[in-house]
Amino acid sequence: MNGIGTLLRMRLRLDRWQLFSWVVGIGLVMLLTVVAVGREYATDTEREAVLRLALTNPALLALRGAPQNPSSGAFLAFQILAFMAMLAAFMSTFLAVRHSRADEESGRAELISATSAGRVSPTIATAIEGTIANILLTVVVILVLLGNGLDPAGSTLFGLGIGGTGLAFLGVGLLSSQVFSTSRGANGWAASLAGVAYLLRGIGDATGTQGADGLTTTSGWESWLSPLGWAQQMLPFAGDVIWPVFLDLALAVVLFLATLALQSVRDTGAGIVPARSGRATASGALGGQLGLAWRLQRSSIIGWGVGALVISLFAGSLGPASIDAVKNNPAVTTVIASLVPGGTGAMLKVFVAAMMGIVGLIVAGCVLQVVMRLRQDEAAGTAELVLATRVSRIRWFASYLAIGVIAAAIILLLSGVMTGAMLAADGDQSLFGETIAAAVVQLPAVLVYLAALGLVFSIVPRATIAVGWALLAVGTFVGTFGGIMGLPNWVRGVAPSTHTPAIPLPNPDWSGVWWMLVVSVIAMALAFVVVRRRDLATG
Amino acid sequence: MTTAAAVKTVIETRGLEKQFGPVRALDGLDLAVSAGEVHGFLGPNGAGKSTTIRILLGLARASGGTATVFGDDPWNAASVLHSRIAYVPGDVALWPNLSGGEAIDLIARLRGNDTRNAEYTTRRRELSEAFQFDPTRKARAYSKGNRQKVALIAALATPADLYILDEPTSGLDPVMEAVFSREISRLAAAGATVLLSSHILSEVERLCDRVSIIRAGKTVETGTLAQMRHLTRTEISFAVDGRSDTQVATIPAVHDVVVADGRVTFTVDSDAVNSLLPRLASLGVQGLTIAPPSLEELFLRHYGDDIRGSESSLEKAAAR
Repeated sequence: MNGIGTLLRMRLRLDRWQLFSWVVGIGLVMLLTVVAVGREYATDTEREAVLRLALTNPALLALRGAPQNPSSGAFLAFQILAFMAMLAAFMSTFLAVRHSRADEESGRAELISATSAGRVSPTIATAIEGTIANILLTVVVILVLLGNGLDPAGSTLFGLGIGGTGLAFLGVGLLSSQVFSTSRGANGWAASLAGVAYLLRGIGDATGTQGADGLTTTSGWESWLSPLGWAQQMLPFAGDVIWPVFLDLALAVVLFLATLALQSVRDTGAGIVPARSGRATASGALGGQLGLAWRLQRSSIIGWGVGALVISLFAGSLGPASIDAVKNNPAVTTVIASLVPGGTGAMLKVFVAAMMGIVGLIVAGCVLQVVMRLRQDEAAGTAELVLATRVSRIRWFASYLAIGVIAAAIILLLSGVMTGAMLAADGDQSLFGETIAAAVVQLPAVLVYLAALGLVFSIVPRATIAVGWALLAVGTFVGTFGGIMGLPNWVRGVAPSTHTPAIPLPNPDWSGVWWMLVVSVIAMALAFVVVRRRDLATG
Repeated sequence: MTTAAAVKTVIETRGLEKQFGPVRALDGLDLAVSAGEVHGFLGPNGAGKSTTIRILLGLARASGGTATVFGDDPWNAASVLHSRIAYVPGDVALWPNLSGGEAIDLIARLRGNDTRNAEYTTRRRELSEAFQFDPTRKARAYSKGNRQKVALIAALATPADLYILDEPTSGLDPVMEAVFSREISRLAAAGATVLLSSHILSEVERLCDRVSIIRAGKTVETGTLAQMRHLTRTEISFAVDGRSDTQVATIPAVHDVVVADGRVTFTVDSDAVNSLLPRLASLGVQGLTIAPPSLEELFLRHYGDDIRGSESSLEKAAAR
């Protein structure tokens, strides 16, 4: 138990900017949304209209949450609580893995464990740091809500729901670090579990029992299987129930105890899931730089691809039923259409365009990670090994970009086919081709992300990873919530997805496609020139 | 490569400079490595050895001066030159999710070799056995020594004209070091050129034809070991017998006579050793040893200032 104080100070020192960005970033997103939602939906009548329409659309309920009442606070919880709690979950899992499995993998843990700190103190210090981070986040969220004139009880529960979710996922991150022998595996599993938690409460909220007034939903049992669901079931500004936060605390404690139990039986550096041995010789697929670039990114690309296909499945199978229910309600158009720039027309078509936009963002995440991987290889020194062979910088750089472009095209195409096939199975064959087009037309916006980060990589290599995630966060936030929040057009224009033509709606504006292709090609060409000229930046 | 001079000189740098922000890593470094020679590249940590090697591989660009490899600019002709070069980095980083065997094959293929022909597979197997290396484990499970073995086997399993080895044995045990020495001797016998950066002076002494010693980004000494020894003194000692020790001091070329532990020890200028031997014979000394200066002494002579400096600062610190 020695040295916990020292280790805790070290962690806070190492993470000070990272934690600051997470907490302040989430706080800022909260603030922007609260202000925008307050302005856009100022009266109970307006909010009631949105909720009535949402209740008829299971897809919206699954994405957002179960509405409780049209008060401004409860409306806000419906709109963003699950999303914010998800961010807290990511903050916590990344923090946990960073200071446990990643340290073990790099050998830093060995250095620490060989001192009187031992094996357990670092884990405890990490748990304390994560708890501090989530308490800070809770306080920031509560202050943002109070500052906007919302009532104290609801604000507190809103904050506790987010912090509690973060705490539960801190436990998830710590435990998966024990189970998996690589930080990549641990991060991947912890983040996937957060995705599963979002999905579970989505199912529960979409299939819940709707109140007679057409304004409330009581979530199904599935929502109770998810910490994100617990945050929503605290019903901030709509009943104010405190006890679900204790479910978070209980889960966090159980997971933490399990972590300590596993740690006491395993060797430092080893996982519970044993590392497999590999091939003694390389297969033909690992034949050159392109084969290597694919091999290194295979699992991450497949992960993003599966995510895109799950969304497509969901869109294609749930879409028609929910649209049927509301197609005669004129108010519906305003909300779903806000997801699609210039989107008016048949509701199902608007829905398809919106869903393919979300798929486009997932694919953007995939290609951004391709460029980040390029940077990771450069920093780790493996790029040096490759560039000391016949592989030129241009071929090295091009192989990654090519993998990104090909992966993006294939995932988009498969997503379009999946959605179109589900719609066709439902009886609407007419949309099959258009749905595929709606998916593939996301490619130019995806290329803008790829080229932009490629350029950043060439000019300021050390900023690649931070800028990559920031691009995805800003693009997603502005692209998805920009319309609902009533952001000015020039701000929305920052997100490449807003320039994508709204297929399958009538008269799509194709000018954006050409602009985005020109911008991507110029940025990539520039990146090639700079990469050709700069030193390799290791470490 | 077509001119006679280019064939003779494989690596040549003149006044090589490299600036990293405010830090001057190389400050006019001269290095010449001829074809077929094993060249030792010595210097303390931070002297600029790895920076020089990175410039020679076209991984970094010189801020000033010139560098040529096989007569070409390593920055512009990198990928062409690299098909003739095998490289072992000082700190080998591997792809964590590839096995060692996969990494070896991959590097060989990237260098343009066919990994399916019998010559390669036989050579790879021999090297794996000699280095006692298990190629099936994933790279993340390898120790530093094992990662180094991957890079070494990959470098040695395919033929190259030039081998650039950056402290290749820093993670190997003495048995593996011996295997490494044997392989380098084999390369030298086959006529390959080797640039061997190292901290292990006995290794350099055993393997290298010529040596360059650098310090703070500059070459301070270069030449064959024999040439370098020429500039220094040889240590001679014999058993005390009560009379010869007093007479030794009267010989003009002799310096630093010390009598301790039953032996008389002194140094002479290396080129005066031959003229001294008849005098010693006439004295009838017993248990005579003559030790040429080791590379370590040469090395320390060049960094002696630093060492003395740090010792005196330690003393000062202790006095406080």
